[in-house]
Amino acid sequence: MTDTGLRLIAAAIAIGFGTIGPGIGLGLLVNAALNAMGRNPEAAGQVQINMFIGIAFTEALGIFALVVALLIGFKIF
Amino acid sequence: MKRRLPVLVLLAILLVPGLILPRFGADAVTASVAVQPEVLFELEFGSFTFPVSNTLFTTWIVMLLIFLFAFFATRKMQLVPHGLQNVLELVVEMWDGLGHSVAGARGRKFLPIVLTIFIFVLFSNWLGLVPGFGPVGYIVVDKKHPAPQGIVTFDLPHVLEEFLGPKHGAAEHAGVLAPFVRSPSTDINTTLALALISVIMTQIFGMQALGVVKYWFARFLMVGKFIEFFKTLLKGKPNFGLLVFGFLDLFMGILEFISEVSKILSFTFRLFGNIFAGEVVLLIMAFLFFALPFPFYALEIFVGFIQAFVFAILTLVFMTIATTAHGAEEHH
Repeated sequence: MTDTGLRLIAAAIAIGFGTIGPGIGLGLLVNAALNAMGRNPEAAGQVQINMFIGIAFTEALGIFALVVALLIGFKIF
Repeated sequence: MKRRLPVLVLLAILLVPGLILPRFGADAVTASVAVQPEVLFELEFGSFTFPVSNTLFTTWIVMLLIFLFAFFATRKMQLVPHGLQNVLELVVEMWDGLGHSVAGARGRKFLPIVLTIFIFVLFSNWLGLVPGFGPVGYIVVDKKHPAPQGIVTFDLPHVLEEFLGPKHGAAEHAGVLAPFVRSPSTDINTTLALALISVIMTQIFGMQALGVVKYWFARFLMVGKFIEFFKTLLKGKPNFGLLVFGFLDLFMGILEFISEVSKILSFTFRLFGNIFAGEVVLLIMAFLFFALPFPFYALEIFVGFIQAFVFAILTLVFMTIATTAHGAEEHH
């Protein structure tokens, strides 16, 4: 196996496994937010905004995985 | 029916070059996915050269489009809005309502920067989806860098050899397609600049609202508990519980600082990653089967809007959090 091939596999693994956790987290988060909005439609605006904050922090983990994958894939180190 | 005709004419005009150009050998021989933007030309100011990349050039186009949009939407203001004025009022009213529900009375203060970010990011995301953005460009054969770093090319060596002739030795010198225009959101520099503007303005608003010293000591350098501990120490009755909480506060301050820095990173790569990955997906789908990009194209229009919305609303929310005094939640 060449060096390039190994690097590409490493990048694929990094992004592939790295998005599992945030994926589950986002599912739970949106599930809870939709439940809350369904139960209390009047608070939908507030819930939505807090949901976006939560999504931002959860998604950041997936973004870190993307950054690592890009760093590996594009030979930055 | 009247409105359908111009659209059909436009489609026909777009179709003609697609049918004619391949006859003259202008095949799409390469499709490149480059993280670095390609330099179009360089401006020289004496000894200082300023490289103008295709993403920067497109940023100017975006600025021009926003200027024209704002000009034509506000040229003949009417009480009952029509056309562009209606669109602009819809956007502004949506953000005014959001700003009020998130930040209350302070919302109006944050709106100029939040709306600017929203409109700029939306225009640049959607402009990248216009046909011709990406595949139209010139081919660069860089002999100094046989395989340029940070660039992945889909081109097969034999295809390149066919196009450039065998003398270039395509296998050794990978050619790269440098598009003339490319969405600014697919350039890390643009998204990093937007993230820095967002985070730094958040800090400035926080310091403005709470005072520079109070802002820093309430968020990052939380030494209040230590001061209380020394006060009790001077009285001769040291309260060691305060010391423990002091260290906890100090640690929390460091974490807060790190999260502030990681905001820049997540702002940058959320926008860049989503739009860049979207364009790569469209490209790959186009290579698989010609009709396959259509559903993804619709998805990208949606993603472009959502990312602009998320960037702006997170800026708004972080600004609100930064201007809220610590422990103010207990009062209402």
